Amino acid sequence: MAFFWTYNGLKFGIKSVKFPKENDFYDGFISSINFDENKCLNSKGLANLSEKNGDLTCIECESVCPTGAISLHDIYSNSSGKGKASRKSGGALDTNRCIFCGLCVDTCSDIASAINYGKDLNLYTPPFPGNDRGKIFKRSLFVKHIDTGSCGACESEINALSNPYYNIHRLGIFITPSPRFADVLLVTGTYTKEMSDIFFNVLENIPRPRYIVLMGSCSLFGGIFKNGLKDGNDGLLFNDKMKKLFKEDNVVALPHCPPNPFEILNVLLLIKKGDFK
Amino acid sequence: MQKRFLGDYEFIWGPVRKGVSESILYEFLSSGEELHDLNITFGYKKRNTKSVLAEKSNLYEQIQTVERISGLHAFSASLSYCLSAEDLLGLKGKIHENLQLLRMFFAEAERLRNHIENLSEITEATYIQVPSALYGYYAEMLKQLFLKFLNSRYLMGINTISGFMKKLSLDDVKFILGSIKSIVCDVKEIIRKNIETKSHIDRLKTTGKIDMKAAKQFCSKGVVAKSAGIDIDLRKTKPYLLYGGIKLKNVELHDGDGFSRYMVRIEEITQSLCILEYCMEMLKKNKFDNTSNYLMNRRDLDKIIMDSMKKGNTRKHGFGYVESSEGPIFCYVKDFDGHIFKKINLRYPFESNYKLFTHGVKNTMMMDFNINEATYNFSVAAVDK
Ligand code: SF4
Ligand code: SF4
Ligand code: SF4
Repeated sequence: MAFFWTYNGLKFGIKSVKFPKENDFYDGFISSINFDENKCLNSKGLANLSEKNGDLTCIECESVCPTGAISLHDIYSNSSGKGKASRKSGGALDTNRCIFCGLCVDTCSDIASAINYGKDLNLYTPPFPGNDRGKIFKRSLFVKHIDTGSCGACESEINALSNPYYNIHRLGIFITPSPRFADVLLVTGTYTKEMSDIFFNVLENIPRPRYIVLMGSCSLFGGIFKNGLKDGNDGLLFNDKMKKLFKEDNVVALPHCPPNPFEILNVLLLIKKGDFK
Repeated sequence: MQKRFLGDYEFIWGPVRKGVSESILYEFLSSGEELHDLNITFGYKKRNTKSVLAEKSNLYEQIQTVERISGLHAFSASLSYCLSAEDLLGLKGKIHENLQLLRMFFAEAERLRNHIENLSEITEATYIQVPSALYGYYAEMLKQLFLKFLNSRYLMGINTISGFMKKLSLDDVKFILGSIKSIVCDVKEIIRKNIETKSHIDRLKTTGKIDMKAAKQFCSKGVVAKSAGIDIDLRKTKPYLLYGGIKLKNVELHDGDGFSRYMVRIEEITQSLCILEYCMEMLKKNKFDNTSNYLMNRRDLDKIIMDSMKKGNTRKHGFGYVESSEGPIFCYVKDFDGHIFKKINLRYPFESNYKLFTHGVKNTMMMDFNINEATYNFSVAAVDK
């Protein structure tokens, strides 16, 4: 029977993508939300300005965003006050806060189609330098996963990396059961109170140099579960306890809800190759 | 835990376990070979979803949150929420037939994906790597298909109260069905070959056997109940949407072991495909063209709700349910304040199935624990809300 399945496996052929040699993403792949300022009604400075809208012609996308990831005032100052929105520097969209729900895209598609899905794999890492972002892992990369309050979809996407389509093993990346062998800690979930000590316990057992990848909106800032409660689901990016770690460790923010397997793979490959500068 | 046999010892596993798994604590009492008792502790992932939901500022945000309680059941959960909301808001009888068919279509697509993914996990637990990888590949193909047409690999952001959130034409739905058919055809070929793999079947047969009495006693749900001879399926017993118009075949096995749970999933894959085809036929018959008539923006939804309130059609409570791949997801909503439901109670099938699991694994082989767990296909997140 072993031979039978080996034969069938060979007959099935190689189905893996060529990524990262080629960006051979599948049809329909999306990984970013792009904001086209030129198409946005505010950029055109159309009329109908009202006090309520803070002198912006349209604030639809900002008002539908469930996580406050869009801040139109960050790019359009209302200083002119004369019907023409003048641009400020900086982006309108905070990628680390975007759960990729698509509500802004759907909303704007009927207004100006200024917000669209894109295929970028750009990473918006936190502004923490870490101790060494060069090539620190010589051969394989071992990843330890910890769930600190996830919905299960982030885990499903990590597991997908082992299917024949992504086949992370071909790239020398492996999931390890023990933190002691790990180079990377892949964190999912909202960082619940109950997992807080356990998180640091696992982390302490990972030898340095190491990377901490905060995967998914939940682990970054609590995602859709962020609330105003005491002991709320705050994630780790803005957590006081992490401040020290941000100085000593390499921390990478991997946004979206859940991040696409290509996005996860991209981060792990950058770590492996030492391309985080 | 009480030591019952000479040489029994206790050990824990969790909350951080091997590989990529959700946080949960298992306490075993074992003689090494045999598992004599199991205690399960939840609570590590508790996100206080009830309070989180009560703090949201609109219904759309509540839907987004409901979808993310257990991401693998996002569509069923949000549909359950929408049905209960429509019940409270007096909109239940006003949902267009085509919209109901589309909801059924994607609910079945989600069931299919979960079943195929679980076949991969079960096969991996029996150490048969090649078919496990092949199942995994086809589950991936389904997710890519969903992303292409619906912008979400997990069918998030599609459901809304009284409407649909994505633009789809009849040709798109036809293409999705055609692709699913071809995926299921390939999956069935793997199933056929896998059933002939003796070591795989031997490991599943008699593993984690439960009888009908225990299944009833613990109020087991979904696949687990069906594997022990209890064919409770809300799509048949209490039809919602347009399920009442379909004659669903009984999916019921009697051995209550891992193999029966595996076979229930396989039969449900065929069943779901038939439902998808039924939905397609009906959509064509109803001259469905595209979803533009059911796209629901905020203003329209607000207007519909206002109208219903003015006419006094609203009720104090709303109730909805959906049969997901693992069993029913119930949703109860109340206290609508004009913007959100202040109280939302969602019940997933896993709580009772976990209790049965704890009972069913007693006196089984420690070696089979993984297989047993895989055949139940739990979502810890759905229990640890
Ligand atoms: S919805 Fe579109 S047009 Fe309106 S502010 Fe947003 S991007 Fe600009
Ligand atoms: S996709 Fe969702 S979370 Fe991201 S910016 Fe748009 S509305 Fe906000
Ligand atoms: S980031 Fe999104 S997909 Fe990941 S665990 Fe949180 S809710 Fe689930």
